Amino acid sequence: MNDAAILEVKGVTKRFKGLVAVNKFDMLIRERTIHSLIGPNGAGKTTLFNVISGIYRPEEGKVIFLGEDITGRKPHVLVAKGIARTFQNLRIFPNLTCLENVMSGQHCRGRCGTWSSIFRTPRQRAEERRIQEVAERWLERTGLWEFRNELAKNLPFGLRKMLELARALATEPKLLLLDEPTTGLNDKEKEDIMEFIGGLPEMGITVLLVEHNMNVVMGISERITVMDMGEKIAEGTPEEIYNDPRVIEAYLGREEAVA
Amino acid sequence: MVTFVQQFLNGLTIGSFYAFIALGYSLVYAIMKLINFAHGDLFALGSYVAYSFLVWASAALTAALGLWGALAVAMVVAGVSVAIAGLLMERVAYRPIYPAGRLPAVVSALGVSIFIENFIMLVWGPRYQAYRSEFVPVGYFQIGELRISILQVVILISAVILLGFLYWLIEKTTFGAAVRATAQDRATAALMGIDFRKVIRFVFTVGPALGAIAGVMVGLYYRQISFSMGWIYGLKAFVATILGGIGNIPGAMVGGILLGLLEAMFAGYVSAAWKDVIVFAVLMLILIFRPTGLLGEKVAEKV
Amino acid sequence: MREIIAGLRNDPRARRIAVGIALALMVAFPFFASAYWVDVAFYLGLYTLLGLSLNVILGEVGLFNLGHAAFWAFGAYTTAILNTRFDIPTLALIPISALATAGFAWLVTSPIIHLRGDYLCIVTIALGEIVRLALNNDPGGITGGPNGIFGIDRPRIGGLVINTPTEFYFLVWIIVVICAWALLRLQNSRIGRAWNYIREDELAAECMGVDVRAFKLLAFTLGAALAGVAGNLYAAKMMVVSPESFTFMESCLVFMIVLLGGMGSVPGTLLGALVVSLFPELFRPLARYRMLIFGIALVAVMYFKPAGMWPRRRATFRSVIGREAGKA
Repeated sequence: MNDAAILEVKGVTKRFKGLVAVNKFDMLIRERTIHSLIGPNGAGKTTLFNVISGIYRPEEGKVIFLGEDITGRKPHVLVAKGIARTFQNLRIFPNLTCLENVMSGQHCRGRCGTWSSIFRTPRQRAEERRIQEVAERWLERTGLWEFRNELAKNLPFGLRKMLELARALATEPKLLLLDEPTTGLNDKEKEDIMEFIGGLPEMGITVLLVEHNMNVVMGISERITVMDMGEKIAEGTPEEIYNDPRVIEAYLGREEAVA
Repeated sequence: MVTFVQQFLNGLTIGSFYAFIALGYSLVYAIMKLINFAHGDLFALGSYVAYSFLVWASAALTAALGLWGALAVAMVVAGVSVAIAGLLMERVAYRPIYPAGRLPAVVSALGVSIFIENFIMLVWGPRYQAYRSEFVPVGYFQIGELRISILQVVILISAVILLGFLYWLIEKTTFGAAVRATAQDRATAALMGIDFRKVIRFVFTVGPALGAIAGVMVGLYYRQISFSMGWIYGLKAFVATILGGIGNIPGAMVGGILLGLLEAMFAGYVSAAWKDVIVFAVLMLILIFRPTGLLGEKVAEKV
Repeated sequence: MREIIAGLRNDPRARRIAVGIALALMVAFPFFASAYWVDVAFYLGLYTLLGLSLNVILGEVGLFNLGHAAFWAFGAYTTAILNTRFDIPTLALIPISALATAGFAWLVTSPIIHLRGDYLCIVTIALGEIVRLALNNDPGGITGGPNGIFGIDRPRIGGLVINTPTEFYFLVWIIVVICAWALLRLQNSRIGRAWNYIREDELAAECMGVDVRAFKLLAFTLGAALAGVAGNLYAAKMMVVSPESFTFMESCLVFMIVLLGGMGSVPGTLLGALVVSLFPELFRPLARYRMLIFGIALVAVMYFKPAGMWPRRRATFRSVIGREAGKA
């Protein structure tokens, strides 16, 4: 068990036109763990997620990745540093083949420019080969091998979700951010994808999992952070969270109060 | 001071032409997310239809209703015929292609634009046509050195009335709310029981009709019309649409007036030859700093 | 017919033979055709080059550029001014026009590159108009106003002056073939794929590590450079350039070439250029009605073939880890 922190979120605040979506949020993620961020809908999970992956710039606070302050850096820079992500509502490249989709992950590991691509220099050929090889390996591991030359839009939904995961993994990330990876899947597909995610820390990949459904993450996470109304309300192991009255209140309390 | 007032009035007049045309763009864009490139040509078509109608009937109509009455009838005729053309265009060139995506629709719109422009050229000839002096009102008010034509005053008053009416229709009525709802989110609006076809019909009736009315006004104001004038007016009106925030109905009106004023002031005080360059440069500057227009809402992409 | 096309797609040797036959026909063409048709073929080549240049911007990256005539004009005027004032040979001005136009494109598109979809479209229209109006207003007396610049030299290679339609035909088509070859190679590379990622989903591309801004600018500068070359060839052929050659209508025509052919498709662009430049010729007997029919034809093509007449088919890669489908 490794205790080194891979990502630290320090006092992050993000507002939209005066509305506070994330408020002075702190979180620490350790290397090679699966850390879950849960909370009811509208708690600000996706906003925080977008701050970490560089889509939003926070008004206050810092995001530190492997000791380096990465606050406000652009997403493509962060990908090169080793942070990859998926999207809550699936954003694959519909009119490209599955292989091309996954090859996009290796884009940031390539160097070749316009001229070497036109003249196909030996270095460029070697690089292309490597890009394709990494992509093919991930297609194989995610069980998408037979669809590699199929256009991504022709895949069924569950496989498209898997494709998005393969694409993110092809960036060779140290930290993988997954935004509700099981939404829209049937039970069998859910099980498959969670089992796959469970194997990632062994490959040296840390996972930050965002979910609104508590049950999905209970079995798999080492630590869980609970978020509500933009603030952290609890953090701990699955058992601690399961028994925490504040968490129960956040999930059920308000409805009970009304009823 | 006199120059200023004169240019200000000119700017308001030109601005109301732009506002009329811009409304058509903005309505269609709000509902269909499509730049209707043929809109400028519908405006030109309106100008020509009214021209022919006046040549044919102005003598009889003027005798019966007076000159202003004849002009009002001509506007209605132009408005109605161009609205029919607009509906036809939607049915033939947009509705079947719309499901295929936005780029095919843009090409289709360009196709319609080329069609209408050449149709006008074939019917009325490639040379300028002039609105005859017998159907253009000539009176003016003289206030000191300032000379204001009655036509200009009438144009401005009718612009205020028409734009005011449209504002009320879209912002204050239930039907207007349906239009705005469809603009926001077509699927949800449909779920709430709003008839999309009805909204489309509205948009493709009112937009072209307003464009045609602007066409008649331009004909009366400048006297000269040409088959190719649709595109430069269309383009300027589109700039006005962007100024106001694309898809924003009151914004299109404000954008049109602002653009007219800017153009008139620049032409009056700096250089007439460079005025269009300035119009487009201002457009670029606005979009660089406010990517969704002056009055447009900031639409963040949902991630 | 369908089997033949399918065969060509799947068999690289058959495809090579087909391309070889097409090239041989192109070489032979001017020796059989009349000077008039060779001239038509020159303009076809010129529009193909313009189509290819816009295809980089619009077809590969999906940036709506409806002001492409601005870049074409910039290249033509660069050639005209440098040739008539400083006597630089027109042929030597090909790379200079390309570079100058690329620099111009970089300068003017840098501040607007973040605009999306229709907003970018309208700004490029404005850009096209600003360039045309500026050329017309003759700033500093260098563009010759509405009359333009005349007396541009013919291109010369050693003692050979490129003068006849046949010579111009070969000049333009050699350049088109080189550009098409280079662009096809770019398509199947890290660069071309990055462009396509942006076209498919800009945000996802950024989050997969593509520097969206840099790659959009690359597309604009590269596309503009090719348009600059087309401008040079045009100036050399006409020997005169004037603002009226670079109207919004020209931008529209090039835009339509790309969409008629199919976004991001090199052979499609050739086909699109064929339609746009041959249409007026074939319908010459109908003189007055041909543009009317052209308008209808545009709507019709978009109705029956919304993805264009020859859409790009994604390449299938030969596996490098060497497994067959299903046996993994």
